[in-house]
Amino acid sequence: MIEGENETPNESQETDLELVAQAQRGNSAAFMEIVNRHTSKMFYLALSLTGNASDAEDILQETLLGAFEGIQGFEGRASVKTWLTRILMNQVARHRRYREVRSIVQIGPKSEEILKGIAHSGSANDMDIRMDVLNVLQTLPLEYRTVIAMREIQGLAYGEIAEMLGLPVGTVESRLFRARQQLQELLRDYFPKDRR
Amino acid sequence: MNTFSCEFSQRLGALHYCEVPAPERKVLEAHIGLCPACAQQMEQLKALTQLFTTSRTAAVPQIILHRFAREVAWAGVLKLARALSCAAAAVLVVSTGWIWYTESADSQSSVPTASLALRTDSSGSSDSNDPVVQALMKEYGRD
Repeated sequence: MIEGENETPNESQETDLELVAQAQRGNSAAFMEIVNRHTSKMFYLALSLTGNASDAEDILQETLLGAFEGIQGFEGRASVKTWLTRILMNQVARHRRYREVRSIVQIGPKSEEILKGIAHSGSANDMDIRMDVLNVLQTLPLEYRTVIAMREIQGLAYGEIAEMLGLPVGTVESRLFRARQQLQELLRDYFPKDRR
Repeated sequence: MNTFSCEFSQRLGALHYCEVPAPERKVLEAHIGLCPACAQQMEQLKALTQLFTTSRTAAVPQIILHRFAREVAWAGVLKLARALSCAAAAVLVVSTGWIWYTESADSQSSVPTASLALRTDSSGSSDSNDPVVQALMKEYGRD
């Protein structure tokens, strides 16, 4: 597990699967517990990928409905987090296609819209970091933004990202490398000073 | 820009994310101990992950959760309504079948009378050879 990762996959995964089993038997409270556990990161992922709070809200809503409707089909081959992320990524793609068809192309990030979606909780410093990270993410090319968000926000493995995006693992790795390079440059004030 | 020409630099990210096999991991870790540039790069990778860890928990607007909780509750009601509709439809089908069956049984019980009527010829005289007709005629006093 990488440093900073606050999840304990084995324990939480088992519990998630138990909750899914209960939800499959019609226990809606169990499903709401799954929602409460995962929505925060999913919302942030949607926010990172769209750069727009209202779009992120729509995508999250559709993702949750899709998950609720498809819960009977969940067989537990992947983790609940991976399953939910897959649904969310499908919704993001659908939303993007819809945007393209409707020609409602947003030019550049709208900081004030992003702000609406950001929690007004936590310390002011945390909020500054959220704003900076979200704004900087919007400046990355979509393919870099997607892989870095899936890795750093959802904590997905290379193989999971590759499978979801239909890419070779090597491509995911090289995109992550370039995405990190750009982020390190854009967020350089947050990084340890170069001692070289 | 954090680009440097060390041959191991491309694999540092994989090392950071625990995506390298154990033998390669040992090689990379040994290299990092000797290469200040790679050690610096590893520090930056950790700092980047820490930035995301700090920032990634955005509170979901409560309106979405409320709306969704309502949808889930309604789904339960709809499921119940669907089950009740199915039960009602089943009762309807069974009732229709039962009515059809009893009516059909009634019409079958009236067949002897009908056949009696059919056995009367056009002049109104009955077929005196039929024992049933004869018995009925005798009972009702008709010759």
